[in-house]
This record gives sequence, C-alpha cells and structure tokens, in this order.
Amino acid sequence: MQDHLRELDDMRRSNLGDLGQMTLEMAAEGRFDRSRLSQQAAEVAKIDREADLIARGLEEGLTLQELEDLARGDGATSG
Amino acid sequence: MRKGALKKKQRQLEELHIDRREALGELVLGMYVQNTWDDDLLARGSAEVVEVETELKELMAGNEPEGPSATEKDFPVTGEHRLPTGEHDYPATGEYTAEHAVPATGEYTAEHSLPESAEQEYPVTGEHPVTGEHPVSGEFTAEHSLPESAEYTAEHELPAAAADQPKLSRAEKKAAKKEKKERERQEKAEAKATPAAPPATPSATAPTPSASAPTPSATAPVPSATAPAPSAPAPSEAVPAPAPAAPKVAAGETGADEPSEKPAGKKPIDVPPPPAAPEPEPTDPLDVLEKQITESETRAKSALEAAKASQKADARTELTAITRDVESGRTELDESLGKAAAAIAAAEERASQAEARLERETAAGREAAAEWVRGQAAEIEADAALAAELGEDQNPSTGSGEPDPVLSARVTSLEAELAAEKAAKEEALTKAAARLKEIEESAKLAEARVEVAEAAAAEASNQARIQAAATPSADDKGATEAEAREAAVTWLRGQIPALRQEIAKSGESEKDSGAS
Repeated sequence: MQDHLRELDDMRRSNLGDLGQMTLEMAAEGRFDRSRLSQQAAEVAKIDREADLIARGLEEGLTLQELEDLARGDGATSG
Repeated sequence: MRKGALKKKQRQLEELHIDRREALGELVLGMYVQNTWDDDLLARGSAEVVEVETELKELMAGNEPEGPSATEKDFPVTGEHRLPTGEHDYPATGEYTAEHAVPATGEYTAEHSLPESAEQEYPVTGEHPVTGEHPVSGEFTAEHSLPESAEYTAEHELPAAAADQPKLSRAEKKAAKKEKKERERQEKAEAKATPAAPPATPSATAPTPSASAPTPSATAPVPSATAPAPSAPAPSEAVPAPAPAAPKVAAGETGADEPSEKPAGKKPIDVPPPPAAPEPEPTDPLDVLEKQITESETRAKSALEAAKASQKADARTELTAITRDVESGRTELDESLGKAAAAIAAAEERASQAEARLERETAAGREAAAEWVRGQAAEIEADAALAAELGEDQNPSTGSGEPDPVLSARVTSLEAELAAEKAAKEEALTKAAARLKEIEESAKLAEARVEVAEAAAAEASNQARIQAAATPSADDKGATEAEAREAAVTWLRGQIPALRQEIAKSGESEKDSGAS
C-alpha cells in the first residue's frame, strides 16, 4: 500500500504537471477549454480519492478486501 | 556568473518551473472542485509559469537573464502579489517624514489622532491604548508613514488575514529567531547599561510608533509566534520583513501590565518593541538564491498542503454538489418523463383520432360502394325490364322474344319462293320483251312485205289492164293470174290484223307482270 501510495503521489504530480501544461497551452491560445480542463482535473481528483482511500487503509489497518468494499461503497455514494 | 552557480540556478529554475506548473494544476483542480472558473486567474498563473519557462530557456541558451530572476520573486502563483511598486516606495531608512513628526520620546499625544480612515477599525477617540486593540505590528496605513519593514498596507488585506498565512518559510523562521535573539540581547544590554536613561530604541531615525504605540497583542493576528522581531537599529538597507515582532504577551498581558513586571524606576516609559526591523539582506547572490529557493519550496509545499486541505474540505462540498446535481438530474428526469408521458398520451390521442377518422372514412367508402352497387343493380334491373319489354313488343305471342323456328322456316321458304317468282317474272318479262321485239320486227317485215305486195299488186293490176285492152284472146289467161294475185293480197290483208292483235296481247301480259 505504501508503494501504491507513492505511485499515486507520483501519478498525481505528473497529472498535475500535465494539467498545468494543458492550461499553459490554452493560455497561449487565448482560450480555456473548461471541458478538457475538467476532464484532466477529474483524473487528478480520482487519484486523490484513491490516495485518500489507501491512506485511510494504512491508518486504520484495513485489508485489501475492506478497502475494496470501501471503494465500492464510495463509488456507489458518489455515483 | 560562475558555472556552478549557473547550473544551480538552472536546476532551481527547473524545479521552480515544475512546482509552478503543478501549482497551476492545483489551481485548476481547485477551480474544478469548487466549480468556479476564473479565466483571468488562470491566465495570470499561466503567465507566471511562462515567465519562469522563458527565463529557463534563456539560461539554457546561455543568455544570462537580465533583471530580477523569477526565483527571486516572492509571490504565489496567482500573481496577486507583485514586486513593490512606487506605492510602497518608502524611505529605506525608515525615517518618518515631516508630516508625522513623532516626538522623540515616541509618545503618542492627542494630536496624533489615529487614522480616521474607514479602512482601519481603530477607535476614533485618539486614544491609543496599549491594550492591543491596535492591529498588530506593521499594519499602518498610508496616513501613517510606515517603517520600511511593514510589508503590508491598507491596500493589502493580508494583515487581517495574517493568521491565515499558512506557514513561514524556513528562511523567515531563521531570520525571526535571529532577530529575536538579537533583540533580547540588546534589551538586556540596555537594561544593564542605563537603567534610568530613556530608551534608545525610539529615536528620530529609528521608526517607532511611540511608547504607547500599538502594541501587538497576542490576540491580534500574528503571522507566527516566531515572527522576526524588530531590531533597534534601523539598517539603511532593508528588505520588507514578513511581519513585525510578535511579543510574547498573552491575551491578558497588555501593555498596561508591562510596568508591573519591571520596576518602574528602571523603565520610565514603557516602550514596546519597535516594529519589525528590516532584516539585512544577504549580499551573497548564492545566499539570496538559496533563500529564495527555500522560500519557493516552502510555498510550493504550503500550497500543496493547502490544496490537499482544501480538497478534503471540499469533499463534503463536492458530495453536496453531487447530491444536488443528482437531485437536479432526477428532477429533470422526472420532468422529462412527464413530458414524455404527455407526449405519448397526445400521440395516442392523435392515433385514436386517426383511427376513428379512418374508420369513418372506411364506412363512408363502403356506404358509397354499396350505394353504387345498388345503383348499378337498379340500372341493370331497369335495363333487363326494358329488354324484356322490348322482347315482349317484338314477340308478343311467345312472350319470350325468341322467334318460332317453324314460322321462320316458313317465312324463309316464302321469301325464297317470292324471290324465285320475282326472278321468273323478270325472266319472262325479258323473254316477252325479246319476243315482242321479234314480233314487232316480224310485223314490220310483214307490213313491209304487205306494202311491197300491195305495190306489186297495184302494178300488176295496172299491167293487166293494159294488156286486156291490147289482146282479147290472151285476155282469158291474164284474167286467171290477176285473180290469184288478188286472192294473195286479200290473205295478206287478213294476216295483218291478226298480227296486231297478238302484239296487243303481249303488251298487256307484260304490264300485268310489272304490276305484280
């Protein structure tokens, strides 16, 4: 889980950089495409949710099965 | 610049670029989470990233960028804070101007009214309690000439939100500790050296509000407990300190209580520590760079933590927003379903109307067809009746209109006989005409012969007379011949009326045949 959390952190930073780069390109074009920005930001938010879940699992000592159930529950709640 | 320094700066710029790009991504993420988009803010953040990028490119191209480096600019990504402008161009020495002649003692009098500006929530009484009601250090308006250490003016809303300042950088903390130690050491030295002498800190050259100047309160917003403390000497070259000193006084320990802590004889005037003293700016560019990089890192980390915190805080908001979206979607779905049901009902009604109309038209068509058939039947019946009537007229005996074959055969035979009779009559007439012509020709020949005989008889009679008169003996023989000739003429004359009667009979029979 720690490794996965680190991977998620790296992925988040990478996606944030991509999001910033995308914003830069849109700023150069003079027009911000909010749908694309929202799409990319949603990816980052998804990573954040997963990272929060993993962190919670680490803090509370949850098993993978419990985490999966939790994720499904969160997914059902958010969906 | 040295090669190592260039490489270091390049590395720092690269890291700063990455940090700012990620911070820009964080900004977009925050906007996405809050669903509040600000294109202007995005553009400013992008411009700052582009600035670092440009500087990095120039550095990599071998051109040492001119002017202040992006790493030396201490502002968040949003670009809301810029470098000091002319509005903040205070004297570096921190001297008060003549407009605000501050007594050397640093005491505030009634003539020194507090700023009446509405921008500050000071009491208008002009009293300057040392109770800490005054905002914390450095929060001076334009009406109060500021020491150079005061970073913020009334135009900057940051002092009020100083408590919200998330974190100080490590360099700031170091500077604050250093100043604090220095100030404590100086205070101790002063206390030992001249216990009865007036404090040397408030001087005309050292900007100090006054003895009763607003003393920073513990309850007032303080950027940090370890904020840099002002130093007594006012350095000529100063950079804006993050915040003035934060004295270690509790909420109840106001300035009025300070005298009770120390003997009154040692300190005639309670002088609060002067506002933040400017921190001497390091002269070594590497130190400057290191400090700025450290600050940038700290800010990036603080921004990251703030973003995480805000994201967690916004999770509930997001959930609420999602719930609201779901409810609104459900409402829209219900409305859509209602509209669809209404449309279906309308369509069904139209379909039923169309079916009824079709049935009516079909019934009308059938009725019309039946009417036409009935008309046709009536016409046929009428025709049949007429035909029957005509048949009765033509063959009343049979009544059925069919001729009797026997009668027909008889009629046919009669007609044949009539035709044969006509043909025979015509033939007879033709023969009679031919016979009549022959008879007429014969009669004509006979008349001609009669005439010839009469002429010969007349000549013979004449010749006999002539001879009788000439020879009596010979008279006897001559007399017999004349008598024979006279008898022939008389027969011929008897033959002519018989022939005429026969011709008359032939003409009468011909007239009878033409009349039949």
